[in-house]
Amino acid sequence: MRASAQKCIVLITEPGRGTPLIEKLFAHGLTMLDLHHARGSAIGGPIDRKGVPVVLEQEIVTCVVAEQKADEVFALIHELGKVDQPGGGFMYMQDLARGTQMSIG
Amino acid sequence: MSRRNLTVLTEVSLITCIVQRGLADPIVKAAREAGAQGATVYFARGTGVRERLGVLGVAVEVEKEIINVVVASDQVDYIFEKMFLAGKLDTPGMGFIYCAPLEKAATYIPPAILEKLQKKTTSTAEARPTKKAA
Repeated sequence: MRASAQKCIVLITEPGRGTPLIEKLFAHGLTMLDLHHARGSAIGGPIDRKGVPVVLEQEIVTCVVAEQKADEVFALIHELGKVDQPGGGFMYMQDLARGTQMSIG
Repeated sequence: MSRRNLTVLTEVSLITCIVQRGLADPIVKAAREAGAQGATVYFARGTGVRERLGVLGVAVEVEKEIINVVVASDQVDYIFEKMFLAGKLDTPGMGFIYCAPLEKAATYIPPAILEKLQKKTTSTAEARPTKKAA
């Protein structure tokens, strides 16, 4: 797979978890962060009488990081977002062709 | 400090589909019926072919719905096709769809499944023939 200098990490989680997570990531020095809302269903989520997954509100946290730090940040979001617990959501990492990196100070 | 295991999934792809507002649900249904385990939908505002369609462009909704589906790489072609057909994306102004490979993904994996995977990995490693020195 082609490698670039930036990676995009996305976490899809429950409502109310996004903002505290972004604050924690910001405290860890990450600045390229975004939060938006969506609707969706996932594996292990509630199902209706017909067996169809119930669509619920979700929060999506997007983070762009340098390639060198990508695995470390992925593990950090995994831990802070409690992704390894039921209802913790789903996260993935994607290679970016180009990206900007903002640093303050 | 407690030790934690991070189990990641590889060989996964992300399908993104952009359609007019209100048209996402049949596409999500088609994706689910084709084997996708989940989908996320959010709203956006888009421009593009609507402006090029002239008077006919008024029939195209400015507000869009964006569908994200993460699927296993071996299922991606089948689910992509089903979503394309469900969204009638061969019609101008209906929207578009694309897919991109993901490096890795993570979610909650029930302990029973993890145990089964570990057993499978161990048995595969044991069954693999070892090279003997001549």
